[in-house]
Amino acid sequence: MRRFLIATLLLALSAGMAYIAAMLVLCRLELGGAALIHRTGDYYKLKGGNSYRKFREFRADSVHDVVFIGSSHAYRGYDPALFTRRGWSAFNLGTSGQGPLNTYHIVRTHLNPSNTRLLLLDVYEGAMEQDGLESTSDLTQNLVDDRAAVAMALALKDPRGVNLLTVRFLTKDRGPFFADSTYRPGGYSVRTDSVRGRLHYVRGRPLKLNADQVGYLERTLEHCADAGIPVVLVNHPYPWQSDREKHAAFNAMLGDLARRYRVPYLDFAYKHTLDDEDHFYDHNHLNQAGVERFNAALIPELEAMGLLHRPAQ
Amino acid sequence: MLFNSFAFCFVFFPLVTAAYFLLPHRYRWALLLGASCWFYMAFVPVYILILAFTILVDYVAGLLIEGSTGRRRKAWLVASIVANLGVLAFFKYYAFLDQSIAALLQAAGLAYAPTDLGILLPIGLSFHTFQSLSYTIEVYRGHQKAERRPGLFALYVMFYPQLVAGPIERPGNLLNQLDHVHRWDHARVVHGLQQMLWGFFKKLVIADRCAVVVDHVYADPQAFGGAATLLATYLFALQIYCDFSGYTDIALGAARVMGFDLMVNFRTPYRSASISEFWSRWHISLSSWFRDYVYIPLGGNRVVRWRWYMNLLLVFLLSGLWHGASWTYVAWGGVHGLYLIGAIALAGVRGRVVRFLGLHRHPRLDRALDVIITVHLVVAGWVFFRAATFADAWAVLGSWLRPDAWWTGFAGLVHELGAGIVLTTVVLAVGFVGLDPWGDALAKGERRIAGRPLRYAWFGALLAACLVLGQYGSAMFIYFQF
Repeated sequence: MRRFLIATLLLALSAGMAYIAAMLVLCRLELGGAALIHRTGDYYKLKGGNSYRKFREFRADSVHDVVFIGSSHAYRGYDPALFTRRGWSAFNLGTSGQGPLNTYHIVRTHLNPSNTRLLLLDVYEGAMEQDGLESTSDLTQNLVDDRAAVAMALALKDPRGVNLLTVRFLTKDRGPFFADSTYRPGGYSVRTDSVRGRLHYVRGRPLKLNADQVGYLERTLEHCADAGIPVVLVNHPYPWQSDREKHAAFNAMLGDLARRYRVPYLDFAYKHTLDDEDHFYDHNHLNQAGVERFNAALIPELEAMGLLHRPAQ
Repeated sequence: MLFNSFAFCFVFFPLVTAAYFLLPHRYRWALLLGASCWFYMAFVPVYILILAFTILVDYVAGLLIEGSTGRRRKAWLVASIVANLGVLAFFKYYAFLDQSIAALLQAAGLAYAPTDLGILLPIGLSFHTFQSLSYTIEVYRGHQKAERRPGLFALYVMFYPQLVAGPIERPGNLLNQLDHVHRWDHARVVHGLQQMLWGFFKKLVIADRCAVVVDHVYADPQAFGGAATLLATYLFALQIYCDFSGYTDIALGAARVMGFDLMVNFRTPYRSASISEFWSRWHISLSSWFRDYVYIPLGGNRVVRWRWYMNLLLVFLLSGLWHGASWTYVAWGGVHGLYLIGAIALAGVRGRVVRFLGLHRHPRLDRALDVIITVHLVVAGWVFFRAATFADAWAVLGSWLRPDAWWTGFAGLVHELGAGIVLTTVVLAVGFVGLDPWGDALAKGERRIAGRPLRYAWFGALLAACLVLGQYGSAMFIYFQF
C-alpha cells in the first residue's frame, strides 16, 4: 500500500507539472485578441464587460439601501439611478446567468448588514435550471475577491471549475479584453432598443430546476437570516407570450420556500401592464422603457412594505 | 452511473475497490453484486427488474439444461432463448416493428396507426441479454457447469464494469474468475488504473470533442457540402472508436484493479488491412459471439458458396439490428456483409491486380494501401450508422460527389463552433491517430515505457490533458443506448 501511495503522489506531481506547463502556454500566448486557452473550449469567457466593471466599482464600505442580485434579469431590470432619484442608494450585483450557486458566494464575501440594508434577490427559473457554469466562468474572470471565485469554482464539482480558476490566476495581471458600452454606474446595463418583429417564445417545456441551485438558494436565505441581512425575493416582469405554466410551477416552489424562510416574495412576472414589443428588447429582458415602468411600480411597493427604510436618526 | 462522472471517479470506484480488498473473500461477491445493482439503478431504477427476470430465467434454465438430456435439454435452451430474446424484442424492437409495419401498410394504402407504448430502452439491454444467453448456450453445449449459487450467477450477468456496454463476457472467462481469491497486487492495480486513464483520455479528450463537430453536421447534413460532411464522418469514425474503446478500457482497467481479466474488445481496428481483419479487431466480444452462436451453427464457410454468402450477410444484418432498432443500423450491417462477400468474390481479381502492379514485391506498401482502402470503406459505412435517416445518409454520401457544392456550410460550421475549437479538435484527432497504437499497447500492458521518470511523465501528461482539454458535461457513452 505504501508503494501505491508513493506512486499516486508521483503521478499527481507529474500531472500537476504538466498541467501548469500546458496552462501557462495556453494562457500566455494570445491569438486574435484572446489567450489560446479560449480557443480550446467553449466555456471560457473573456475577462471584461459589465461584471469586470461592477466588482471594481462596488465599495464594501459604502452603505446601500438596496443591493440587487441575480441573473441578467437583475442587472438589466433594476436601475440604481431610478432608486437614487427616489432617495434610495442602490447597487446592482447581478451578472450574466447568475444563479443561487454564484449568488451565495458573492453574498458571503461581499455583503453584510453594514453595507446592505436590503438584498433584492431576483429569482429567475431560467438561471436556476442551469448548472452554474456560465456564470462561474464569467465571475471567476471578473471578481476582485479571490475567496468568492475559488468557492464558486469548487462548488461546480467539475474539472472545468479548476481550469477556470487556473486561468484566473494565470491572467490576473492582464487587463480586460473588452468593454461594455451599455454599462452604467451602479452596476446597471441599459438597453433602449425594442423587440422587432415576432419572436419565437418557447412554451411547454417542463420546469427542471437544478437541485444544487435550489440548495444554494436555501443556503443564501439561511446565511442572510444568520447574518441579519433583510431579503426580498422578486420576479421581474415576463412577456405575456412566455411560458406561464412553467412559471406557475416555479412560483409554487418559490412561494413555499419564501414561507419557510419567512422572506417576502413579489412576483411581477405577469403582474404588470408592459407590452411584449415595446418594453422588452428580447424574449425575456426588459428595455429601459420597461425598466422605468417596472421600477416605478416596484419602489412604492417596497416602501409600502417597509422594506426600504433608513436607519433611525 | 457514468464512468465519466464525479460520482463514479471519486466516490463509487474508490469506495467499492477499497471495500473489495478490505472484505474477506467470502463476502466479496455480495459487495460486488450490491455495488453493481447500485451502479445500474443510477440510470432508471425500475429496469433492474428486467435484469432480475433475465437472471432468474437463465439461472433456472442453466440448472434444468444440465439436469436433462435429449429433447428436454434442447427445450429448456429454447425456452431460455425465447425468454431473453422476447424481453429484448419487446423493449428494443417493439416500436421499430410497429412503425415498420405501419409504414408498409400505409404504402399499400391501408390505414394503420402505430401504438406508442412509451417504452424506454433499458440501458445496456443488448449487452447483458447476450451475456446471459451465452451462459445457457455454453451449459447446453457442455462447456460450462451450471452455476448453483444464484448470487454468483447474478454477479456474472451484472458485474458492474461491463454491465452496460460490455465486453460481452463468456462464462468460461468471467464466471470462473468470480471464485478466485484476488489479493492486492501493486503492479496489477497500477496497470488497471493506467488503462482506465487511457480510456478516460480517449473518451474525454478525443471522442467528446469530435462529437461537437459531428453532432453539429449530422443534425442537418443536407445543409452541408462534402468538406463538412467528410470532416464530420472522419471525426465520427474516431469518435465512435474512442467512445466505445475508451469505455472498454475503463471497464477492463476497473476490473483489473480488483484482479479480474475481462475480454479484450479492441485491437487498433483502424490498422486493419481488410474488412474481415477489421471485425477481428473491432468489438471482438460481439463479433465472436455472433461467430460462435450464429455463424458457425448456420454452417459458417463449410457450405456451398451461395450459402456461405447468405450466412455472412445474415450475421451482419443481425449485428446491425443488434446495434439499434432502425433500418439505418441494419443497412450498416448489410454494407459490411456486402464488403466481406465482395472481398471473397473478388479475391482472385485482387491477387492479379497486386501482381500486375508489382505490389507483391513490396508487402509493406501493399498492406499500407490495403489499410487505407479498408479504413475508407469502414468510414463510408459509418455514415449509415450515424445518420438519423436514409435521406440524411444519402445526403452525406451524395455531398462527396458534388465538387461544385464542396464548401457549402463549412464557413458557417467553423464560425458557429469557433475556428479554434474546430482546429483543436482536428489537431487532436490527427495526433491521436498516430499515438493510438503506442498508447493502446501501453494500456494493455503489451508495451512498457523504460524508465520511471518517463513513465510518470507520460501518464502525468495524459491526466493533465484530460483536465485541460477534456470535454466535460455529462456526455453518455454511445454504446449505452444498445
